[in-house]
Amino acid sequence: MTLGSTTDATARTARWDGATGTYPQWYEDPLSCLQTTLGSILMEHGLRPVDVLGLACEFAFAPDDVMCEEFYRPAQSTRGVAADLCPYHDVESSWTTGADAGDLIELIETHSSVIVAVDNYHLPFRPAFHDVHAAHLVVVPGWRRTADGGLEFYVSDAQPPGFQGWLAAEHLVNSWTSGNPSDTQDVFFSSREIGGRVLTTRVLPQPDELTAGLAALALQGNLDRWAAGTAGPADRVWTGRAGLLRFVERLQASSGDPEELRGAYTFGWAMQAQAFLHGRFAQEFAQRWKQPWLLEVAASADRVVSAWSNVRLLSAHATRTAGITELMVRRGADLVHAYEQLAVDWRLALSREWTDL
Amino acid sequence: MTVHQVLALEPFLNNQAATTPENLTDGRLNVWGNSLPAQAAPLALEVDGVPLRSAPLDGRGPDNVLCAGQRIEVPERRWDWLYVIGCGERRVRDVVTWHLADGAVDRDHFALSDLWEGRSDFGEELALRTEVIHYPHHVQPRIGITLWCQRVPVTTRKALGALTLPRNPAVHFFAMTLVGQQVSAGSAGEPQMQGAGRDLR
Repeated sequence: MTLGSTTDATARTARWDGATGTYPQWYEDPLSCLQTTLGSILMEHGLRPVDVLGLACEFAFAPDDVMCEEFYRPAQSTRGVAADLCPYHDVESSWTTGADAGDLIELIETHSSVIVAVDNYHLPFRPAFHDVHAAHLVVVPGWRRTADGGLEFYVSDAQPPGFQGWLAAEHLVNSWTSGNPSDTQDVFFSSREIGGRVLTTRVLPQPDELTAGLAALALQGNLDRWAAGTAGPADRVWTGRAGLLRFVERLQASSGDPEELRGAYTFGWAMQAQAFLHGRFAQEFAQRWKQPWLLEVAASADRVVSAWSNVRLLSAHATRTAGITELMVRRGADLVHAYEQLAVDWRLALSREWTDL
Repeated sequence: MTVHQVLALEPFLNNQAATTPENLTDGRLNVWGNSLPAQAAPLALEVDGVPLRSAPLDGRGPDNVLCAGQRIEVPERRWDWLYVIGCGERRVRDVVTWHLADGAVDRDHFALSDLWEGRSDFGEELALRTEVIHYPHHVQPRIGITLWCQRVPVTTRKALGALTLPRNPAVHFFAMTLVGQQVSAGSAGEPQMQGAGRDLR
């Protein structure tokens, strides 16, 4: 469900200007660059990332996708990954590409802040600089000419060690157009060309504030998507409970194939981050709105986060872990159980009387 | 009065967390091969009055236990807590399995914060915070590695004989100390019944 109109032409105005302070950054431990960059864009529009990104929590897995980037998440709707992550707000995104600094300037001029795909190998502020190739996302909210005619882009990266500031165009452009070759030091996030990709976003005017009604709607949506999920032969994306069960079966069947398991590490990050944000949302909402039963949702969401850690890390260490087949059965079952318990807590929370204070 | 038993982990050391600039590629603290800078001396801490001691972190060989289902025998008696120095590759939750003296088994959950970035998710105290992190091919400033002091409850009141670590490649332990109460009367591990309860039959 979306609130408001998607045809409002006044959607995006420049809200950040490099001359006035720092760009809004947001980071939490289990989040990938997909959430942290999108969260910054939401903050730029005056929204609290947890209130927007924490409403939905679901399982979605696209078995035929290539999953080798930190920011990978299976595409679900036609309105882009931002809409998939923010189904209760009017937010959209779209991937596009450019080839040179001129293209990037044009994209910034058209869309204001843009999210730029990069290869960390070429970014001087990343630990991987001139060491490891790895795909990543940063926000680029502005550009300028220096006194001597040089071109610089403002780059914001909330992921530790964290950076924001003006960067010579050559660094960003090299990073943005990198081939990101396969790197034995980072088999998870290398090997797919960065190719000048840019994620543009559209954040339309939003409802004034979070209400109990909206929170209840989101929990019901989560529960419905969990119960109604499908994983049939014709489904490109496996969703909900059925999707998770089939994903876990596939994981267990592939436990002898480390390359196949690598995808679980990458893909699982998106699912884990969303569960984390949902738990944080439930916790904050319970406290702010005096609806304590949401604390049960928060605790169960945290168990989903932990179950994902164990599945992801076991998958990552598959080549060096004895008894992986047996272990994957246990970790897969733990993950299913954690989501089942979360669904029970959604149902129990929804059985209460919700009131707007 | 509490009693402590520092567990000897030397037979179980199977992972190298510390490296020097000369052997950066030997580090195995996470899947990326990151490691912590070698320390001049083993960690020797006291938390809640409980002593914790690590193996040498000199970068010359295995210095921690990567959890792979190791069974560790412990002095047979009732224990209350297992204090540890450890870290998770990402924050992690898992279980320790207790082997009870009467042949039964039980489990308790534990949680460990991430070795990266140094934020305590579970309220643990710092055991070590480094100023830099070792990558396989360079030393990286501005990011540190954190080891944590954590404790695992022993919920059962029965006597323990051994414990088994989980099989979890994301969990590293550097030190372990069991904590119990001094037993004043009766045999170890037996419930001490007080008052009139004993006569109500």
